[in-house]
Amino acid sequence: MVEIHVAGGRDAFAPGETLRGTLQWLSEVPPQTLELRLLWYTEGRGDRDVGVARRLRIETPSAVGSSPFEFELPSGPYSCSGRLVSIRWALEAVTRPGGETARTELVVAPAGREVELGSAGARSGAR
Amino acid sequence: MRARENPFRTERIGRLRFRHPTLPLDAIHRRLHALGCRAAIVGPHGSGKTTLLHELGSRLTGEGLRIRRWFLNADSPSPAPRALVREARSLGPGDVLLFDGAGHVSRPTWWRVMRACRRAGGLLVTAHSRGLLPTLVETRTDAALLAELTCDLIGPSARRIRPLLEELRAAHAGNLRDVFLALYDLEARDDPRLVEL
Repeated sequence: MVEIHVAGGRDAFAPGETLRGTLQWLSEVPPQTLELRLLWYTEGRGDRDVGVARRLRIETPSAVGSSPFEFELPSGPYSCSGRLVSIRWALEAVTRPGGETARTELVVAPAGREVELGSAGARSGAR
Repeated sequence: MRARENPFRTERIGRLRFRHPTLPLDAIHRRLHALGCRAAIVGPHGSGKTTLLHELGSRLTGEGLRIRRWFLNADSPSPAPRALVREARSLGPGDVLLFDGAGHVSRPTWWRVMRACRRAGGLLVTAHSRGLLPTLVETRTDAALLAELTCDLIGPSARRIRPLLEELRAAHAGNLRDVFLALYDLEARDDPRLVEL
């Protein structure tokens, strides 16, 4: 089991802010590595693009533990949403071997508000 | 509609499981082993060849085999035959080469690659026509398959757009990848045929 806890329960940030939190894990057998990634990815019509902006790697952790983390958020790309593409940010933790994962979605944009491209949101969530 | 809410966005299409109108995946898997893990998945564009290749690759990984993947399409630069042959020669009995788009190399290069793969534990390819290796399965699409996959993406309301699905399937000559791109565009434009679903 891996869990990501962002300080203050926040899920929206401005570029350049510092993102703090704690990574917690519990497994029967100690993993060889535990990696926390701050990444952005695209969703939409085309193939997915992914960029890993920050990475924290813990080698040979114990079976049970926790570790604080602190990332300075990069200046971009902003979280945004249009009709053809959305850019989203997330924190993702992965253990190896075993491949246990945890994921927390984030917004990284000015004032912590996702940028809407065009009139993308006109009928969002209609179905 | 926002891209991230579009039910036909690429990553959702990529998560659809392979289905064949008559052959279950287990039967295809057994046949692959019966063919000594040297076989071709044959079918037209957008009929599920790559999806099946990935699913069989996952099963072979689960059997302890190492997977090497090559991909070529019509837009790929021509690979250097020597480089392909060199890499194929490096494969051993524990390796399986999954070659997506094997029909895009010249026939002489294909023969060289095939010979160079002699020691490999398997060679599974996709192609649009028969003749590279014994045919494992011919992929094809029909109205029922499209309806079933669309149901996976948007739920039972897929039944209400069957005429639209048939129209798109005909317009794209059975290429389901292109049908789903067309549906993506219709959703993105808030097309009235989808708005009421």
